Amino acid sequence: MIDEKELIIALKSPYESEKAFQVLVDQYKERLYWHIRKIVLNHDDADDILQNTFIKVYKNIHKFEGNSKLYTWMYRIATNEAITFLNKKAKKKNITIEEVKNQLIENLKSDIYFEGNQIQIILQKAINTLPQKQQLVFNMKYFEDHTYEDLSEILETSVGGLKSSYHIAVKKITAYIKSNETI
Amino acid sequence: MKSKKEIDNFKIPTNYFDEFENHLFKKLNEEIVPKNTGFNTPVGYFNKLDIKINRKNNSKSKEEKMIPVVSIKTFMYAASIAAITILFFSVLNDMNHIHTLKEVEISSIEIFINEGNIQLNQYEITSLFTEEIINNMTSGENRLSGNQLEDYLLENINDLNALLQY
Repeated sequence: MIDEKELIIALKSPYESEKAFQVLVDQYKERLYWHIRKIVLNHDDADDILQNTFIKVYKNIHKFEGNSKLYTWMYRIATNEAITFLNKKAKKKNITIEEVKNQLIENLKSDIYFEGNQIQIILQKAINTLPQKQQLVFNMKYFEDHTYEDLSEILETSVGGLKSSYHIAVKKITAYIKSNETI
Repeated sequence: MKSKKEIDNFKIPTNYFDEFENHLFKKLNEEIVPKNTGFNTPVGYFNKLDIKINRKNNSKSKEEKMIPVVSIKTFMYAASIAAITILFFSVLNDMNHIHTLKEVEISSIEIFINEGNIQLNQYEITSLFTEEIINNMTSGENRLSGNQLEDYLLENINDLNALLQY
């Protein structure tokens, strides 16, 4: 794996940028894809957002000052892109973002790229009951196992705030699943 | 509680007790909350993704390099000239038209005064009236009767309780 600092220098160099970009895509495509997919739930949407995320990274790499890790910066872009996508969808349909997510969860039942069963559907419904930021904290901590320090950089929130947010999220989700398991 | 001897003989990983709680809760939660989301991707999706992103990136770069027929600079010049012309004529037109007090609606004047745009004290207001008008206003004939005053207050004062306190 190429060192992050070297990769940034190469990305900013006019002679090496294309090759470095390929390395960047190769290194982060899967992690970013799953992060986006958990927000938008649908494969085609996640695919579009992932491509846009990488293009934004490529076009704005000269603005990256190195105050944070490259990967947390990329996660921030991906998160913003995914949430903007959901907001646009909600505005277009004249409904709330929660209602959009509920529709997307309902669509999972017939989605060919979803292999989950009833418990996974309930899990998604449980996640959707959380406020937007808590959803992100839960997904990134529970499934992706990011450190609180990295999460703090990505979500621009204090580590203490994230810890309590995560614990509240887990409690809410556990309670939701317990009360909905028999349905 | 363990004796001092036992503690000296056994070692634990760094931060073991700090992280124990997290590990325990994680294990407990995993029994209820599934660790798998159930999401899947098309076969070979990640292998083809690099090509797709490069293609999209290149096509976007080409789109950006296209030179527009009318440059932004030319458009800005034209827009600025148009804006200045409109502004000039509207100011000129306004200068030719002199507003009189009769043209202004009474309600507009009331709003203007109520918003506190005119700040005159009692002496400044009385200086605007002739002595004859002031005498008429203060003479017994023009004074309000008790019933008139009561009717006025009942119709125009919203909070009578506040008034009764005085």
